Amino acid sequence: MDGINIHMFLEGLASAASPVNLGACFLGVVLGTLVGVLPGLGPTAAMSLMLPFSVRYGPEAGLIMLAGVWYGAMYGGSTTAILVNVPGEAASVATCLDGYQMARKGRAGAALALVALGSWVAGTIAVVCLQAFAPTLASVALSFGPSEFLALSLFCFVVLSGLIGESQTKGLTMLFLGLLLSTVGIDPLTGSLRFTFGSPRLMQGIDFIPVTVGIFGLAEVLRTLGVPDAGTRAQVRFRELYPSREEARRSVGPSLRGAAIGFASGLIPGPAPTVASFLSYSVERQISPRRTEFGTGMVEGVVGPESANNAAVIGAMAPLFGLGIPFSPTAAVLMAGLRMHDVDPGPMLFHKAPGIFWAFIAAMYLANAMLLVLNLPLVGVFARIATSPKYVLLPFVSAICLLGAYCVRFSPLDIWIMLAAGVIGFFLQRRGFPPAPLVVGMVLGPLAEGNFRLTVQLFRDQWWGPFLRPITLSLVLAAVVFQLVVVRRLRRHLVEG
Amino acid sequence: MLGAGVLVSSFGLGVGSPASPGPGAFPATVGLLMLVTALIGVVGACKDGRTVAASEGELRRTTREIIGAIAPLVSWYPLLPVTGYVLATFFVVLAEAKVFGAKGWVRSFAVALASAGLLYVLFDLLFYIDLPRGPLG
Repeated sequence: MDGINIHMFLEGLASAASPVNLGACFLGVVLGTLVGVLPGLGPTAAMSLMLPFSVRYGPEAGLIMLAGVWYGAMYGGSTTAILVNVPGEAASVATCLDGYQMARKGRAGAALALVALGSWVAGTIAVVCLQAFAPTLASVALSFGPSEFLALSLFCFVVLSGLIGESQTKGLTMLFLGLLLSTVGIDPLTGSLRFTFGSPRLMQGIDFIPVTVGIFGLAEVLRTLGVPDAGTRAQVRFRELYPSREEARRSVGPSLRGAAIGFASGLIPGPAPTVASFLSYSVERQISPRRTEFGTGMVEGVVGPESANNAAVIGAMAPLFGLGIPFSPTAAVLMAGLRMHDVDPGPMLFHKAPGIFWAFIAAMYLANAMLLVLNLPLVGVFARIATSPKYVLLPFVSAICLLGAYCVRFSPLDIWIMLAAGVIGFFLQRRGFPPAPLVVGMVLGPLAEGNFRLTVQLFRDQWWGPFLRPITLSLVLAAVVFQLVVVRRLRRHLVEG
Repeated sequence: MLGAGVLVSSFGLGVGSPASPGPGAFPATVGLLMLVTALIGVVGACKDGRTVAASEGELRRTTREIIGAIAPLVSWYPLLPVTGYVLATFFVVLAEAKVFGAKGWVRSFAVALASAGLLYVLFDLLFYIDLPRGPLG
């Protein structure tokens, strides 16, 4: 099972290349890019919006479509960063610094082509690493008991709340809110009703998708109410897409370094693509002999971050598939998608449904290649969409939010939950409460609760028992050290910066 | 407040014993952690001397804008059984386009028509989702 299983991979490739799966991948890539180019709507929003519809295609095609959406949204974000100086999502902020400057110098086409190529190279390297790493991680996780999984969730919560948002207390508050929302409905162990307030509809619980669609999709639409339309876009002609030989040569190193930085970042809980892109930008500037020219249109400052954020997306899938724990909000959405298809990510996935994993991996190669072929000629179209007036885009996104929430269970409750999540999410985000920990809390809630109750039962006579288990102890210590050293230092650095 | 409320409600559900944790055990733990986090936040805010920055006028304007944008969306579900999803979406997008600053009815009408058409293609022809169609059949 360990390492790269060529036979299984080839089977996955054959499955992913079937007409239905290729169609789903194509649809995912196009829709993902369309949502990704809209300012503020990143991969998490794009995947949340597409999640209810992906169910229609069955497990394989549905998940392949989601992989396409994820990739497409990431690519769409970089397009607007370069052409309009508006990052589609946080991971593309670093790209704006030099990407838009390249566009102003008439090198927008070259920047976009190099980003696509660099992302493709880094993405391919990261997929190879994932193929080797996820099954190995899964075999390690087979020895995990409830206390280890509980400690892993705790580690994930501490790191995630520490790295996302302006204040850790606000991040933790959102996380706890997510955990609480996951407990609404029938208790799976005792059958008791919890926090249903006498409503029969609430007995089935609060679904994660309407909340995510509201808090990421609708809240973003509401935020844009008071924001003026995007500015003018740089024009790109197809013949301008060819980078010069010098630009191509200079992009090789950043792309390879970006792959390594990105994949490693994905293995750590938190906003991996954003962290990876800034880390890569910083590394490229540090090692460049022309570091003073960064910010004026350096190829390295565009290719490095974009390669890194692409690789980070894939790296974040290793803990999801190997451990069954999402380390990022986007991975949490994918986990919800897997569960909707009755696929449980985690160590047993490689025994129970290995075909799903390998088809997904193969689909990522295909989505990567599809983006390269499809999006370069369509760059001008996507830029036009990104700079369309608000009254064209936002009503359409609002309608998608409504339909997306309703199609989960065809229940009006989900519409009201989505609308409430959008309004409450808008006001909470204005006060600096980040939405990502809430999403992770909601997805990880049932798992954390199950492991919490089992751990309490198993060690009822000796509360210190879990700390005698080496993996549990290491994870708890890692969480404490991370909190005391990394989070404090990072926050001090941010305040001083 | 929420943490305290959850804590009290969770005890009402029954926290059980270590040998058999009840349905309220996990929510009670989360409620307690929420309460502690809120207290840390309040103490931190008092220490830093932070105050709420938004003015009352700004808040009122924002609330008015939000209500204006949400009202058409609220009407979508009541319209659904009467008009079907294509027409309901058309009316919602028409109203939203005005909210988001479309000048004149022709532009709003064009946006609503295009959006409803595109959503029909997506939902009916690509996703095969069976939604109420109303008079359009």
